[in-house]
This record gives sequence, structure tokens and C-alpha cells, in this order.
Amino acid sequence: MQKFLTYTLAALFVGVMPFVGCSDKGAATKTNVVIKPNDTEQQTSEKQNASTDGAKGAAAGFGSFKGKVVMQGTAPQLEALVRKGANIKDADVCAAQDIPNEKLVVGPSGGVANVFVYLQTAPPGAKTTDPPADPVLFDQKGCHFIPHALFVQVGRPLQVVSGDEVAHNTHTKPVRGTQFNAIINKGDRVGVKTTYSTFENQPIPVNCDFHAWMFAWHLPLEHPFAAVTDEKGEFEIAELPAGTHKFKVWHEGAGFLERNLSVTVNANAVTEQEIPYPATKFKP
Amino acid sequence: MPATDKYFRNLKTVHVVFALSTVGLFASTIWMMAADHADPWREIQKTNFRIDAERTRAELNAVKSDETYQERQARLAAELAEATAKIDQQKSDVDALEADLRKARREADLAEREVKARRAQRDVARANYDLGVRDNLPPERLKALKDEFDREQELVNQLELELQRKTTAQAEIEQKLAGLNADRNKFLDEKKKLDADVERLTKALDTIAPESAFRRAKREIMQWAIIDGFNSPTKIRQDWLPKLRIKLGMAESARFDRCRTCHLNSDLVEAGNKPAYPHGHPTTDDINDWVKNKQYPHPFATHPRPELYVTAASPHSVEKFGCTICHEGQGAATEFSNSAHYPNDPHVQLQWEEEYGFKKNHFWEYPMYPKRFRESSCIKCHHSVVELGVHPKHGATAPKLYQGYQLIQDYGCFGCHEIQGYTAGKSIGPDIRLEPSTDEERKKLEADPTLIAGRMRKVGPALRHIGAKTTEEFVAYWTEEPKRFRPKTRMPQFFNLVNQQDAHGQEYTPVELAGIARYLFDKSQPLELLKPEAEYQPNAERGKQLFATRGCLSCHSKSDFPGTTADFGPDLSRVHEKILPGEDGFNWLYTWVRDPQRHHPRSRMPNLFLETYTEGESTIDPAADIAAYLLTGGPGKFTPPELTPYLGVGLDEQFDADEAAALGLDGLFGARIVDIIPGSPATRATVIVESAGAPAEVKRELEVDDVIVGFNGAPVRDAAELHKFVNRTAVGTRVSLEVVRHRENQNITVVVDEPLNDEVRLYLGKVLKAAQVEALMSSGEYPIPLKQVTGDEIELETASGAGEPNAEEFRRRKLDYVGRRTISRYGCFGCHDIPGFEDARPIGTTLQDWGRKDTSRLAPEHIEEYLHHHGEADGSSTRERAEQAVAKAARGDFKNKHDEQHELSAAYFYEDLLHHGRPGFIWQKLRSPRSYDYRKTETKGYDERLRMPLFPFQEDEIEAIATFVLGLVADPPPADYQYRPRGSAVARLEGERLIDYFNCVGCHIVELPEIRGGVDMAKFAATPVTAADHPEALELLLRFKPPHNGQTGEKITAEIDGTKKTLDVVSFYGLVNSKPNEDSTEYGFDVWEPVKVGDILKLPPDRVIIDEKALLPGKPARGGNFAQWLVDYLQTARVASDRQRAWQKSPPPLYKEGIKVQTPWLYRFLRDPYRIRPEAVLRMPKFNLSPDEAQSLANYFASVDGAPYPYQYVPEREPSYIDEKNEELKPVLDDGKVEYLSQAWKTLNLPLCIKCHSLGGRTFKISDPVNDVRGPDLQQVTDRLRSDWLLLWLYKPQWITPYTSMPPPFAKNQPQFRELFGGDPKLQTIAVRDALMNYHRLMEREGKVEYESPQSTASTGAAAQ
Repeated sequence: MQKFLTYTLAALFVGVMPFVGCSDKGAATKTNVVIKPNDTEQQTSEKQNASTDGAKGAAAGFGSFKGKVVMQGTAPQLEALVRKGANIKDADVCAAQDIPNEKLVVGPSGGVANVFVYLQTAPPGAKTTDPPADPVLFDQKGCHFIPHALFVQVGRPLQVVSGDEVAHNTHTKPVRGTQFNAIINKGDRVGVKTTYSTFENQPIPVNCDFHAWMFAWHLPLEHPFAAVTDEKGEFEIAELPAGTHKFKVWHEGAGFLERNLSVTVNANAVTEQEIPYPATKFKP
Repeated sequence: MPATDKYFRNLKTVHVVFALSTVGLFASTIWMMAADHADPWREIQKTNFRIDAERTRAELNAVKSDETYQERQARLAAELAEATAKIDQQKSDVDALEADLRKARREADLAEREVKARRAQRDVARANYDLGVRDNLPPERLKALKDEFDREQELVNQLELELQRKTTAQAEIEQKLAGLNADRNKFLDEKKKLDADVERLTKALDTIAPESAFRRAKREIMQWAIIDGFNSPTKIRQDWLPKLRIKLGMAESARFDRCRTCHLNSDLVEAGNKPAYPHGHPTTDDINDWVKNKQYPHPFATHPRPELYVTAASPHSVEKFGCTICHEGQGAATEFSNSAHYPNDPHVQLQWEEEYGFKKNHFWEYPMYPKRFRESSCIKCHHSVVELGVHPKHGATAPKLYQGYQLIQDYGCFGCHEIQGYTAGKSIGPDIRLEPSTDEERKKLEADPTLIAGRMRKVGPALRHIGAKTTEEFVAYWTEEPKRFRPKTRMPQFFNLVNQQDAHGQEYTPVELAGIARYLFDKSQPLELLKPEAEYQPNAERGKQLFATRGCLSCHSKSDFPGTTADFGPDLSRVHEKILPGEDGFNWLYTWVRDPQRHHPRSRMPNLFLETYTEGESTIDPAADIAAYLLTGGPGKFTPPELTPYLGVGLDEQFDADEAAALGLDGLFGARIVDIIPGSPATRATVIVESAGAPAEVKRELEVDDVIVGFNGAPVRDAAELHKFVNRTAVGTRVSLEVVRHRENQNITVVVDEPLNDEVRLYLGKVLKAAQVEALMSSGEYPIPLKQVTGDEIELETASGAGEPNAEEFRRRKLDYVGRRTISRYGCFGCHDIPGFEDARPIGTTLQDWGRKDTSRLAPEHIEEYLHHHGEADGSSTRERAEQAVAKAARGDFKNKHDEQHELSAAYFYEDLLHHGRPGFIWQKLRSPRSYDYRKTETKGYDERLRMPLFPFQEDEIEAIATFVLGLVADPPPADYQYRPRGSAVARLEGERLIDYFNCVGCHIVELPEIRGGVDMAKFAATPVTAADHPEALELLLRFKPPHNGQTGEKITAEIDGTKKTLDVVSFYGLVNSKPNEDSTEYGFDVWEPVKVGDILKLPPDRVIIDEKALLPGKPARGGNFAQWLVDYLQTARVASDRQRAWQKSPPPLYKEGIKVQTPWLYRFLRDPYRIRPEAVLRMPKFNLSPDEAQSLANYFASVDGAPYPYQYVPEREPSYIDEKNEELKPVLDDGKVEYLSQAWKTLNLPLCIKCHSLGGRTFKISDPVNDVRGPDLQQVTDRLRSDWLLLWLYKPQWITPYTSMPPPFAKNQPQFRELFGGDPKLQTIAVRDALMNYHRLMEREGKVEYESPQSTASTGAAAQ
């Protein structure tokens, strides 16, 4: 129901936009000067950067960016990383069933999962909040990581747990930050907590050194403006200051699909966009 | 003759003359004294007094004007006044107390006197009693005496009591008085301390520049002539060095160095061992400026690096060493020129002449070393040299000298020029000599304790099996000009040099080249080659990958791999061209890369273990693949030297119509002779003359300026045509030449011959009679039996009675002979192992005392003329270059300091050469060795020409070599002045030499780079030590790797992301992890050594991010270029998924290797390396090390890290330790029912280590052979690792090696396996270490252990906190 409402509203907004035209923009700017809180101005000048142009010092409220990353063409069929019953280390647990290859997961309608869509730095005018205190769960089950792709805010606890009856060794390989390398005991649901202390410029690999096929990707950023596509290829980034933003789009098989995806977000509205890429870009 | 009163001279006149002469005598005496007194050093000392006064004054002012000082003074004054006032208030009390005190003191004194007197009486009584005992008196007498003593003793006791009372009373009063004065006394003390500096400085100032006019005058008068003999402030200061004797001509005497008469401040330092008078080049003559800017010119400056030189605390104190032992010069002199100062270049000389009236002191045998050679003298005492280039504390103290030393080793100068470091077993200097080349020689040397064998290997490849490797054509081509084939080769050039440009040289060169090649191939011994399996198909593409990853590039470079610059071995870009074509060549290369010692037993190329392996279904032979890759491109074509017939004349190739016309010839016609080769057909030419009616053949040599116009009747139009005619003529043919000589035509007969024959004749002429030579040349039979032939002539020997050789065989022998003679002459065997030259001695002059070589024995010949007209590589004049350099320097026209130094260096050497100096001689000898033959070839025999080859040295390299060679004086000071390393220093020095000699540093980083850069301190956080970390581990870490102080105190301002930021510069030791790229301008570094910046402690593997704009140059890594290249390569080639894995596959940095591995293990490993890490793409090769060398290297690592060696104590193996553990851990060992090590063995065999390591008889399960992380087999740990290091590793591997994949197995806050040691992670860690240290014992005792999960904990797993 709520979803339906959002869509309708969004459609309405988009429909109305052409009629409002340029004059609306000017008016909005004007209004903004009045409603903008004092501290935002300071934030803005401090945090000004290349990833957002439109909202320079004049946030016209906040909107969302909702989208879907779509692959054009036929998705390749990937072999399972481990076949059920394979003769491998810890086979009792790890070869109890097939371990899917998540290097490229394409939904039925062509949506690509595990794509990171993010702003490198917080846009000017963004609300500043402390990172959430509740931990993000990073799980391992059946000798594969869940989730396969994870965005986590710098400073937010990351709780690494395991539901497997064998020990795992979770090892992050950041470029800017310091690595985390710890054994997660078998069936340890409390696990080990860690936090990223600095942001990365692109998602970083996480692996288990005990089980060579286990791979995942983390993206720590110093703000919440990032998302990972779900199995349908969909994502949503909320609370974006109105204006034009430049997003990075990254997938493990393709690397950067986009370094400067320009998207204009309007106040109190949802900007929807389908982002298509040819199948050749994805190398599983 | 009777006496008369007549005077012979007029008395008056005599009186006048006498008066005048006394005045004259007096005046000249005064003048003499004044002149004697006007020594320049007095003025210098006076100036120095002024400097000192100014400096003291400045210091005094600084102290006085210091705000805290002033404030404290003011405060103290107030406090004192207050305290005094307080005392004044109680004045009556004080006075009364003082009166009491006086009284009490008097009484106490009195009492003391009384006691003393009474004691004396008591002692008399005691003595009387003692005498009574001795004299055996009756008991009653004795008793009386005893009573007498007791009485006296009683009195003494009473008086002593009285005295005590009185002194106590006195002390009480004193205490009261002190209480009243306490405050004032405290402040007075404080003031005294505060004023101490001022007082000291004032006193010092008052001594040198007194305030009072009287004292000033006194000081002035003390410095007058004559009077200055009585303790004048100015005086000669001398260091007397009776043990460091000096040679004066034929005599020896003690050394007196008076240098410090002028260089007064050379040993003065300030706190922190900093120079008190730092040397500089002040821009003004104003002393005040010098003091203000803390820059002092010579001779007022302190000696540089006072921690090393001159000061009493330094290893070279001036009291022990003086000055001239290092600097040379006339130490006894006290005048600038006399003391034999020596200018660094002609420009400086001109300045000195102007400033000091400088003249070179030609009469002093050992003038001071000019600045450029000041490092030379270090090797007088430092015979091992290495410490001057690499030193843990002092760094490179003589870098130029060390560079020279290394160049000499790299280029193999010692192959011809021995540097004999011993006389009768005593060390006299650096020793750089070839090792014995035969077993007999080695045995002979070993048998004689006074003989010490050389230890250098020949630097060139062995030529013993050259036939298996390459072609004869290539050898001739290569030898002619090696750098033509390989521009960076170290092999020098022997041919086509300036003394071979004449006809003689040009004609003989091809013969010699062909001869060398022929000899080498004739003598080449067969080599049994390895071959890949017959059906094996080498894969060149894979060979390329293997070439890159198996370590070849740590020594070699190849154009396929841009960015690789290793030059330890040859550049292999064109190697395919030179190898023998076909299968033979392939097999040779295959053998060489698989087992280099098969071809060359002393090669420094190691065995890389390129053994066949299987990958999936297929077998791979890496050596074959690499050989195939190297041979891609196929063999090259090299034309052999052309051996053509000749007449023995040099022709004017430019002879043209005009010149012909001038000689009366019609138009361009004929070939003009400009050169006649001695001993050639031209010198054996004949004419037919009518003699006594009959035609007779008489000798008529061809002459210079003859024009040959006809050849056997055919006209000769020009030189080219004559060459053509001669080339077509068979050797031995008589030809008739029509020659125009002095405008007259003559027919001269010449027997065409070839240069080969004439060169053979030339050499044979030295050992045989002329008739014998001719007989041999026609018969081919050598006239002397084999046994009597000792020289190169054995090549011509016809194996005693083998009969006449045929012409072809004889020609081959002649070529062999010339080849052998050429090899002998040029000393090729100095660098190469050549059959037939096993016993040959080095051909060059020895260099061990070259620095003292009598300059009259250097032969500059016509070098001055040569350098006047030629001398530079482009043919221009060296003299002009030198003159221009001096003029340009005088005008200040040089664009930069480097150019100026470079050009003035050339000017210096040129100038020195003109004065027949050693430096100039060696400079030109290395620049153009044969230039000393300039215009000498005309009068020298061909075989007397200079033979030194041309090395590809740059001028700065030449200077470095000169610095070393000039320091070779073979005149060591007494033994206690020499540097004689002991203990670990010996191991360190020898190890330093060997890691360079075997290029260990090609692969391994042995010293981490120091990273310096600006960081934002707000973001520079301490590494969190978490609940997972063991505190004991941190202690161990900080013990093994003490934190480096990273605080530099410097700042850097850089514009980053458009914002100007001022950042704090930190320094630390670590390796680069990421470099700037499309998304970032930052470098990421892994911290390897704990670093402390203020209170912030960063530990490995923390990461430090530095923007490229804030990165400063630091100290580069020592070694490991290849490892760092390989890490990048493995990532690019996708062999490794990330940088950590790439490092795991590459040669590890040998950081703290000494505290890591057990020295005996390292020794064995170096001798016989095995594969430690299954992950690595390459493995440690087997170097061609002698047992001694392996031992030195193993000791080296322990020595640099301060680890004990050679013996390693492993307490964990001792019963006492194990008993202790059993006792201590009784509660967790099932109340003592379980044995500690058994439990430890179980812990090791938990399902943890086995995840990545093979251990305990079980092999690690491979799931994915490519991507699995595979740790080393744990059975090797017990002998390999030191137990403390291992414990830290088990606690937290990342603290030791940031790139390891291994997680800490037992995190402190995650207890698991509660059935083992109560689940205590610390006990489990120690247990695993102890199990590993007792591995073999436990393997035998406990055997294979599979982990069985106890029922109680099976389902819950580990409970975390």
C-alpha cells in the first residue's frame, strides 16, 4: 500500500515537473535561503566537493534516488563455486550443498544484484548524523558470506558471525584502512565486532583464508549515501539533498561501471532511474 | 815592525762606521725578530680570541636577556630582600644565638683537647700493662697496672661523655640559627645556581677580553716578541704522536702535528656532540656575522662529524691520531703553504694564491689530500673497507672511496692488478686478489701460514666450454667491441683504441680477434649437457612468465620487461643472437639455467631449482620453457674477422688528383703510402739491379710517400683498387709493383703475405733465431722439443716428431699461437677461466702501494701534447676544457654546482697530470688508457704497446676509483691504530660484503625503507590494542621491534584537494601498499616497525595514508627491487588476487631475520635451501657458497639484530621447563594425570593449524591448488624458528608480518576448546609453541592425533565473551 502511494506520488511529481518549469527552480532557491538552518551553511562550505554540483549552499529539501541496475543481454550461467559432495577441505560443512557463484547475480528481469551505487563524499547540505550504533551483521553460512556485498558506514559496528560448524577466518583487505583478520569460531553467533575507521574509494575484498572460494565485498563510507542492489537489481538512497549528484557505480566483475553518474534529485520526491549496461561489461 | 802610534785607518771614520754598523745590526736584529714574530698563526689566534669573545658575549647576552632568567632574578631579589628583612626583625635573637654558638664552639673545642690528652694517658697505661704481660711480671704487679688502666679508661669515658654533651649543645644552637636563616640560605643557593652560567661566561670573557685596562695591557704585552716565550696567550699547539711515526726521506721520526695552532676549534663541541663552531661559508668578513649565523670559515670551524673525528669521545681523537695520519701534509709547519695544503681544483688554487699567497710545497713528499680525496686515507687503517660504506651507527662514512672499492670488485680490476693486502701474513691494506685457480695452488697456500689466499672469483664467465655455448664468429665480434653488442656490459674494450689506429694495428687486429676465437674454440672442452625430455614441447610464452616470476629479473634485465633495471648479471635482451644455433645451443642454455655450475663451477649464478613439475595433467619443464623464451628471435649473424693478404703498407685513402699532380703524377692515379708496417712484406721488398753485369736481386724496402701506380702491370688508380688487387692475390705470390719515388718510376718486387705470418714471425723472433723462424715458417716444424717449450709457443710445437703438418693444419696452429699470445698479452685470463692459463699470473702492476708510487716511475710520455690537441670523447682538446672550466668558475658562470664540480674536477686532473701527479695519471689512464701511446707507436715495438683496455667508466666513477687507489699506501700505522673488528662486528662486515657479492639484496629487502611525509595529526590515531590482543604479546613486540621515534618536528605545507594544509611530518619504517591512481592522490603504507609520534603508538599492520604532495624523500629500502617489482607483476598478471597474497608469493623481506631464525638452521639452509613456503612462486636458489661464506652470512643476520649466535638455547626442550609446566598447570592437566607436552601436542593438532599447514603426519587438504592459502609445513619450525619469536608470531602474526594471511589462532577474548588448558588462549598459544619446539619428539611419542570433539562442548562450540 505504502509502496503504491510512493510510486503514485513520484509519478505525479514527475508529471507536474514540466509544467512548473524554470520559474519553480528560482522560487525554490529563494525559499531555501530562508529555511536553511544556520549550521548547514558551514557544513556546506566545508564539505563542498565534486560529487554534487547542483546543491551548492542551497539545499532545496531532500529527496530519494531510486533505481535499478539492469544488464542488457543474456546473463552467463555461472558454475557453482563448490559442488555438493566435492572433495574439499571441511567437506562435511562446506560441500553439504552447492555454493553459488555470486560474482554475477542477475535477476529474472535483468536486474543485477550486488552493485554498489554511492557518493564518494557526503553531499553539501546533507544532514549529519552519527553512524548508527546498532551493528551490521556479516554472516557466513554454508561456507559463503552473507551478504555478498555490503555497505557499512565508518564507525558503525560490524558484527562478524558464523552459522557454520567449522571455523572461518574473516579477512578484510582495505586499501586505505587497516585490515581485520580474525577467526570466527564454529557456530559463533556472537562473533567478533569490528569497525571501519576510514572510508575507501571503492569496495574492498573480504575473504576467508581457510576457504579459498569465500569472497565478499565491503564498502565503508563516512556517510549513509550508498546502496547495494538487491536480487532484483534495485536500490534506493534516501535523504539526499536536492540537486545534482554524481554517483559511482561499481560491480566486482566490471569494476567501475560509472564514476560520474549524474542524477538530479528533487526535494520531497523520488528520482527513479533505470541504469542499463551491456552484458559485455560484466566479466564474471 | 816597531810599534807606532799611527792608526791604520782614520779613527773618526772608524767610529762612525762602527756606530753605523751597530745601529744597522740593531735594526736588523729588530727586523729579524719582528719578521720572526709575524707568523700568520698569531694573527689567526688573535682573530680566534675575538671570535671567542664575541661568541661568549653573545651567549652571555642570550642568558641575560632570557625572559625566564630575568624574571627569576627579579623574583629572587625580592625573595632575598624579604628573607633578609625577616632576619633583621629578629636581629637580637640572632645575635644572642650567634654569641651562644661562639661560646659553645669554644667549650666543645676545649673538651675535645682534654679528651685527646686523657686518651694519650690511657694508652700509656695500656702499654704498661701489655709490657708487664710480656715481661711475665708477678700477678700483683700486673693487677696494679690493670687497675691503673681501668682508672684512666674511666676518666676517658667521663670526658668523652662531656664532649658529646657539648657538641650536641653546639649543634642545637646551629640548628636554631640555620632555622632562622633558612629562607635566605635557600635563596642564596638558588641565586648562586642561577648565576653560575653568567659567572662562568663572565669569567671566560674576562680572560680573553679583560675589562680592566691594566689586564688588557698585560695581556697585550704577554704577546710581544721575546716576552711571548713566557706563557703567552698565543702559542703553538702541538700534538705529539710518538707511536705514529712519520717517514722523512729515508729516516723515521715521531710525528708532531701543529695543525691545531691554527685549527684551534677543531675539537670543540657543544652539548649533544654538535660542532661548537659549525663550518660554513660566511658571506662577510665580519666576525659578528659568523657568530650570529653560526657559520665559521676555516680554520676556525669545528671538524665535521665530531662524533667520529677529532673529539676526545670519538673513535679518532686528535690526542691519539693527530691530524696528518689522515690528512697527510707537513704537520710540523705552521704556515699555510708550508704545511702542504693542497687545493681541490685550479680555481681554488687561484683563490688561495690571492688570499694566502699560496705556493705548492713541492719539497714535501706527502702533501695533504685535496678535498676530493680526503676519504683515501681511511683505508690505511680500515683494511676491510666495508665498514666505511655500510655502518649501522654511522652510515656511509666514506661513500666515494667505497664506490671505488665496489667498482674495482665489479669490474674485476684485480684480475690484472693485484691488491696484495698482506706482507708475511700481516695486514697492510685492503686485500683484493684472485682466489687460487688450481688445487695445487690452494694446497700450497694452505700449507704456509704466512701466505693468505685471495678470495675474489674471476668476474667474467668461464670460457672453458665456450664451444658448447656460442659460435666462433660471435666471440670474435664480441671481443672486438663488447658494448656494440651489449651497451651496458662491464667487459672493457681491447681493440680499435687510439694506439691501434695505424696500419699496423689495423692489420693485426683481425688476426688477433680471429686468433683468440680460434684458440678458445680449439681448446674448448666438451660439456655434458642436460636435455629436457625428448617429447617435451617448450612453451616460450609460459617461459616468459616463468622468467619473470622465478627470479631471473633480480639479477638480469630484459627489454621485454620495462622497469627492470637489475644489472648484477648481463642484460639478456639479445641473448638469443649469441647462443649456438639449433638444438645444441638450446641444450646448452637449458643446462645453464638449470645447473649453472656445470658450465662454470665458480659462477655466482645460483641454481634456481627449475625442476619439472606437474600442473593438472601436464608436466612442465621450466628451464626448457625459459630457454625457449630466451631464444625467441633466433640466432644472430656475425661476420668473422676478414684475414686478407697484405703488402704491409698504409695507404692515403684521401689521395686525390691535386695531391697526385703535386707529386708530378698525371691526374688521380696511384696509391700513396703513408705508413709502413715493420716486419711486413713491404720491408722485405726487392728490386732487380744490374750488378757486375748480371741481374741481382737486392733489398729495397717500400717507403712512405712512394706512390704505387702499377700492380703486376695493371694500372692502380687509387688505394681501393690496390686493396682489391692485393686481396685477390694468393699468399706467397711475388708481385711487381710500379712505384713512383721522388718522381722516378721503379719496379719493386714484393712477396704478398698475410699479417698472421708476420705476427707469428714477430713473436717467434723473441724466442728463436731469425734462421730458425724462417725455417719454421716454411716447414711448419718447431725446432725445439715440447718438453723444453714453456711459453705460448707450445701451440706451434709439432708434438715431437709428428712430422710435417700440412698447410691447413699449420695455419690453424699459427692462429692458435697468435690467439694464445694475444690472450697472454691482454691477460684475458684475469677475468675468464681459459684452458691453458690455469697457472697464469696477473699481468698488470700491483696496486697495493700505488698511492705512494714514485711519480718519476709514471710514464706520462706525450700525454700533454695529446691532451692539448685531443683528449675528449668528441675529439676536442682537454686542455681547452680545463682552461674554460677555470675561467668559467672565476666568472661564476656555471649554471649549477654539479656542473661546476664536474668541470673543475677535470681541470684538476688535467693540471695534476701536467705536473706528473698520480691522480692525473690514473684519471687519464682510466679515461683513455692507450692515449699514453700517443706518438709512441712509431718508435715502440708492436708488442710493447700499451695493453690496458678501455672500461666504460664515467668521470665520477673514475674519481671514486682514484680515491680508492690513491689510498693504497701499504703503510699501516701500528696495530692498535688499525680497525680490527672483533666478534659480531666481524660477522657483520663479512656478511655485508657477501650479501652484495651474491646479490642477496636483488630479491630481499634487508633494510626497510624509511617513509617520511606529512600527516594530519587529527587523523593519525594510535593503533587500538583490542581485547583480542594478548598484553604479553605487546611486550614481546616492543622488545623485538623497539618503537621508532617518528616525530620529526618538521611541518610541510601542501595543497591537497584544493585546500592548503599544514601537516606534521612523521617518519616510519614500512612498505608501500597503494599508489596514487584515478580515484586518489594518496599513497598507503603498511607500518612494519612500531612507531611513536608523541604519545601515539602505531603498530604493524596499521596503515598510514600520505598524499603524494605531502610525501617527502626518505631513506630508500636496501635491496628487494625484484620483490617489489614481482608483487606488482603478480597482481597485474592476476597470479595473486591482492597485494597481501602477492607478497606471500614473493621473496620475503629479511627484516629482523636474526631474531627470527636459528643461526645453525640458516647455515644449513643457505648451503642447501629447500622450499619453505608452498605459496611462493619462486624458491630460494642454491648459491655457490663455501661453508665459510654460508657461516658468515648466517652469523651476519644474527649479528645485525643482536641475537645470540652461533649457539641457540631452546629452553622449551629442557626437562626443567617441562617439569615446571607440569607442576604449574596441574589443575588444567586433569590434576596432573595428563602430561603437559601431550596436551600441547593435542592443541597443535586441533582443527585450526591444519586448515593451512601440514603437520603431525597429516597433510593439508588442498581444495583449490591455485587459490588456497598454504602455510609452510610445520615440521620445519622446530629447527628453524627461535622460540620467543615463534611465540609472538602465534600471538599475533600481523605484528611481525603485515601481509600474512594467518589470523591470530587464539584470540584473548575468544576462549575455545575448553577441554584443553581450560580454554585459556594464552596457555594454548604457549602450548602450541612448546609442541612445535618439541615437534620431532612428540611426533615420535604421540604420533598422529585426530581431534575428537568432547561431547559436552560439541554442540555449543566456543562461547565468546
